[in-house]
Amino acid sequence: MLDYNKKYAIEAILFVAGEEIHLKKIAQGVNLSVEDAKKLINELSEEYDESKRGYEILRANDYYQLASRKWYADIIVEVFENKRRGVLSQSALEILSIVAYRQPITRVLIDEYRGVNSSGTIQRLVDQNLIEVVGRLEVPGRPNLYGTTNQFLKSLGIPSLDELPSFDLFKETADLTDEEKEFLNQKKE
Amino acid sequence: MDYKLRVEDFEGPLDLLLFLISEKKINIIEVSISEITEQYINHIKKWQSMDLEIASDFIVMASRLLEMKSKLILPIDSDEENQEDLHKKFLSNLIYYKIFKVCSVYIGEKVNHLNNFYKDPEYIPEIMDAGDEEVYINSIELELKFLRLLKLRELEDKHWSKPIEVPLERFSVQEKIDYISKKLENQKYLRFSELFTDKPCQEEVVTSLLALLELYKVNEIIINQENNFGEIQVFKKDI
Repeated sequence: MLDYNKKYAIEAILFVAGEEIHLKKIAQGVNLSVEDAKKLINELSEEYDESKRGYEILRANDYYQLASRKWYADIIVEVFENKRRGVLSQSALEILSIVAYRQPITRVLIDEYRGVNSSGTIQRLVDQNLIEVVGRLEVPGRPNLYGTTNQFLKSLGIPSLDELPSFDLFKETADLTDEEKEFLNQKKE
Repeated sequence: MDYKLRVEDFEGPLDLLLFLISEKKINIIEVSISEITEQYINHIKKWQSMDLEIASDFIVMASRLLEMKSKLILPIDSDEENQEDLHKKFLSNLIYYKIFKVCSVYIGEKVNHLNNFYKDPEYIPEIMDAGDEEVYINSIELELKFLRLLKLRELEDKHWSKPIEVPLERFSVQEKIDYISKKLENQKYLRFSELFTDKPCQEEVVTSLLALLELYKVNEIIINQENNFGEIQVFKKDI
């Protein structure tokens, strides 16, 4: 039986951290193995969900964060008006989608997918912490490679990239004709 | 009904192309390049007052379309494969753009409306003087930082497919300019073939030619060639 006090110690850690914190640091803080700490966090998370508390635990890869529950976002926006996050533009969303499904990716390739120069919008997405530079491509000029951030996962409400809907799903929703689908399949070979 | 489409209605050239294709209610694959090129160009002609930066993206696409169209018309056998590649790339570009558009709607719904979460206010971190002071860091943090570095390294390795050759620049235009000017101080004229070493490589010949053109441009030399493919003679211009 796990120690219940440790569960609420974790709650305290998450509360004080405010931002995302790595599972290992939490485990070290309460002197538990990573697995046990994870178990307690999940229990805590279920507790919050069941009682519809004002906050919830978000997970992005191995990071956890205590945040206000998304249902209450409208209320929060009204109280703290200055914290409203800007709505993303169509071009920002296109870039975000391309980076999400093709990462790590260079700006040049993003431009090619869109047929337009994307550098300004890419920088805005970096400033908004939705994408980040994850490395450099070893070709002349060493261009930046972009990938999505934990912030992106949390905004989307998924704990890891594995839980993004598969790209094939969008092929279905995009209403491609059979000929178009076949063309894409041929190209892969 | 007559309605006007503005450049702002489109995210870019691919968006406009998809729109033109959808109006015809046909497959992307079935699109006739020459037809679509014509429509596309007619469309952007109406947007004379386009923002220059936006315009350039649309014009690049127009030139791409024209290139494809011209290659379709010209019966050049050796280039056939190339042309087919160009066409295929264009089609897959269009199809992928169509998919990513749907994808961005999904991501937009999620990010813009559903999942706004808020956290504690952020604290402004203390600015540390990065001198020789001791740094306090615990082992977990160190490990996490190290793992992150390893991950970065791994990503870079993944893209290190083959080494890239960066050619050494053995000849510079400026050097050749100096060389030619110096020679012309002692000689009445120079023959083009005199400008190189015994066994010139392509790079040296090109650099020499560029140096000549530059000297000609700044009005320091006169270039003369008696007949086609004959020897080029270089004279110093009398001042």
